[in-house]
Amino acid sequence: VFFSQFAHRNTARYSPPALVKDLAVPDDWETMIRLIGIVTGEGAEADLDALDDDLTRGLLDDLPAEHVDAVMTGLGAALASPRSVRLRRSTRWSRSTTP
Amino acid sequence: VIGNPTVHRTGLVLYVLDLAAALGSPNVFSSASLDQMPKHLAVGEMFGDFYSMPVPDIERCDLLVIIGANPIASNASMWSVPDFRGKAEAMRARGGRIITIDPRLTETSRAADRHHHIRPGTDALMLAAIAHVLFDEGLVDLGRLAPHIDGVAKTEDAVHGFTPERVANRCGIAAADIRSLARDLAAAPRAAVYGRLGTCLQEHATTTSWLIDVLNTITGNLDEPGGAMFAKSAAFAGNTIGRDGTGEGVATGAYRSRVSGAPEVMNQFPLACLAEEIETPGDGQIRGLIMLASNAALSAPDGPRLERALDQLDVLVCLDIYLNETTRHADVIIPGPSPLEESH
Repeated sequence: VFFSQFAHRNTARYSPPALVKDLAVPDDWETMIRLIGIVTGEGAEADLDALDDDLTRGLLDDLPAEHVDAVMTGLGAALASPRSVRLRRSTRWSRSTTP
Repeated sequence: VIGNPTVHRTGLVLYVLDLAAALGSPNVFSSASLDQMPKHLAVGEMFGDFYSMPVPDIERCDLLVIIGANPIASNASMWSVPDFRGKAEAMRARGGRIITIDPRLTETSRAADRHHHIRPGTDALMLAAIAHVLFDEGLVDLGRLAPHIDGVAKTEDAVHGFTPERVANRCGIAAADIRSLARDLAAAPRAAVYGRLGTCLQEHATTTSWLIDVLNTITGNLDEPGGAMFAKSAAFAGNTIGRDGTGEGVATGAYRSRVSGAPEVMNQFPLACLAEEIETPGDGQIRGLIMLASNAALSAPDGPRLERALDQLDVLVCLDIYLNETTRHADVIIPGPSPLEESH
């Protein structure tokens, strides 16, 4: 998503994994959400799917409140596991990360 | 600390901002400050988005000037161009010319029409002199973008006095060669100037990065076929979001690092500030660190000092598939899938 902004051609391409992952190794998204759970005090055993829903709702902050539920419902299938593809408002470093 | 592979892995890049926000700490660092941050800042100020970065349209270009970059070895950087060598050969076969400017004779220089050895750190002087010649000799042509470009007169003032004769000795490039570069850029129907790592890792890197796109702009090659063009990402890019002519622009320096007072850029501090933030006691001292696919102990300035600092932390968590100079100091190493087990 970042690098297509510096590419000499405009392309969009998705490549599935070439090899099947060892199930014991967590996906990156799982590890990231688990870390988020730990640093926000939810703990290492927090419900990853619930946390991810919360994060996704956070991305919808700009929408009027009454639209958020509609978007979340609309995203239902996309939000189901595996969650490697998510709604992102932007790849930009947004001011919302400012402490 | 955000290592470079983070932006190459879907699962990391989509959540890294969430993790930074969850931590609520100003102490975010990434490999960008060892790589391309000056370019982000320059294009952010010029075009309003840190990622709106013009890249050479090599397949239609007549003159390509490559500064501080070795794309034959790298396949280009901040310019994704697979098989650069093949494209460069094709460009020259149809009569296009490639000029490299670098302190070092690189693989790319050897495949170019002309190479200029430049004294390290003097790129801004040379580029200012090229711009000066373009203004001085009436060679500036803004092309169709003229109504959209601000600050041309201020730029002319800024580079006034940087004559090729004045900078030649400092740059180690003859004044006549600097003049020729300016005239060639102006004369070429389609030309592009591209700078990379070497132009970003020097004292005046942001000015250098800015001047590169100043040259693309005042020669009428910005956003033109065969010139320096903006890629359009399939989604989520600054130049594909919202209505034309709208955008937030960029801001920096909203807060500063505790020890050196370095301003944040893109909500990050320079990686060179990490060791001192761990070492220096006081309120806000870094006591715990999460490193995502980062081998900063190898890539950051003064790695041995950073290694000693990492050992002073209360906790170091590394997400990595390698045991390396950095992760060997970790309390916990979290493995991830190999790149072949990831979607892309």
